[in-house]
Amino acid sequence: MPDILVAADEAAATELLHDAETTLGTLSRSGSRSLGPFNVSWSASAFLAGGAVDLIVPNVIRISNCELHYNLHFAFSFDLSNIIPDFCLPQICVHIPFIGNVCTPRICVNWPTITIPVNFSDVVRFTADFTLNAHLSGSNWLIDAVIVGIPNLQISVAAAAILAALGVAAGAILLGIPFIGPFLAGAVVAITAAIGIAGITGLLGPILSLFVSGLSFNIYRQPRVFNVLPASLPLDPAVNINLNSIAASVSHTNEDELLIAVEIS
Amino acid sequence: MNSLDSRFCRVGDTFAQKFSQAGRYIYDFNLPGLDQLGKENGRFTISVAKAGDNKPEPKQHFVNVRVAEKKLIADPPNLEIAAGDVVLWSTNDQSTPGFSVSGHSEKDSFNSAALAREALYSHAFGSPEEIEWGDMNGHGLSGKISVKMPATKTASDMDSFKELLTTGTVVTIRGGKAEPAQVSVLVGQTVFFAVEKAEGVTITDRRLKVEIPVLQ
Repeated sequence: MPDILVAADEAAATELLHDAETTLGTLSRSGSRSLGPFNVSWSASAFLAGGAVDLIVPNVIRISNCELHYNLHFAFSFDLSNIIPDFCLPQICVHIPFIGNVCTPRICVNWPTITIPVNFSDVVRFTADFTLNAHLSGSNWLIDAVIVGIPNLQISVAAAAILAALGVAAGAILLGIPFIGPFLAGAVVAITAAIGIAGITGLLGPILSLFVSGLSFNIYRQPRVFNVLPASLPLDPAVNINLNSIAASVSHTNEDELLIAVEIS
Repeated sequence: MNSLDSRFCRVGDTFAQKFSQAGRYIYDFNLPGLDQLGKENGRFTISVAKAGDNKPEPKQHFVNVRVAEKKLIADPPNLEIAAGDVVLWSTNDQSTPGFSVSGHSEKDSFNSAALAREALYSHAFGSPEEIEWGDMNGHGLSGKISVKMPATKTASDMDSFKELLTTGTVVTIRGGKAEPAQVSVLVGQTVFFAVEKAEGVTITDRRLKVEIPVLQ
């Protein structure tokens, strides 16, 4: 029988979770990778919110409908010449009475390397199982809920929206390139087709997974030396107890409860 | 950059000058306004020989302008031509900055930033827009160009468009008047501004006018 036993029902555990989400705050990641002819650099920030806790004996906290709120900034860079054929102005000859025959040279326009920025924000909900991990960290006892595996994130709708946003952004960027006008529609189609939904999904999935892979919520923190009574007089020192061990588990009595068992000395 | 401005020739632009008088011209690339080279200046030459009695058909000579060792270079740097021949300057390198060409002989001169006689500036239009152009040297010359997007939805449209690209539109300038004053072209098409005689004009999109501060 432990010296101290703390119990939290699912409603209380959900509150602990929401506090932990707030403490976790906004996380940021950035990186780059190639995607066919495209170089994609990205930065992302995300925070977690919501979700309801379902306690499962003996050691699982299932969090349902946890929301991952994310902001993404992509910069797709590529040589436009790799997407659409270069354009050549043909030789043109005119006769001008007071000059004579004049011909221009054939001039080919090399399409430039361009960067298309795309910003996107969305929320993806997921359900995941967490295990309880009680451990001593320095002078504190911590109880963390650590995610098991990587949850399946439904991102197909977001991927389609990002691809559409890429098409719109590409159109705006390309519009400023001289001589591209006649090829504008084809270029936008070529760019979005070259990436495709699969490409965006392959890009987005690993980025969002960075925010949930190895996710850990700290739901309980307690100093190993627990101050029961503060010192009041020179001959009346503080009364402390040592928390020798802490264990966390899920138990079912009348209802499912998160139990924290503490041994003291 | 794809701006209509004879003072800054870029990819898609050409400047051509007919050399009717024999003589040795020296020329260089210059800033607009600094149009008169000193007698010793000018890295490039055009030697114009008198046309013989049985004068052959006038020829056109191409000069490609490019950057080498941070300087604008004419390729070929020296030309030998006959009176009545035409020299055309252009660049095919998008990294070449806008340039003007000016030069002179003992009795004659030419300047792409002050088109005066038997000169030609051509520009291929890269974007759909309405352009009002004028002379930045203040001789009152003006005109309008409407650049429209071609229909390119079908292969047939594209073929027609490519065919149209091989035709040019000529605007003739005599004195302070352009004829026709208004033209309509498609994106990618070229307009030739042929100056028969004028007082040193530019062909410049009015939106590019720069107010130059006057020293007090």
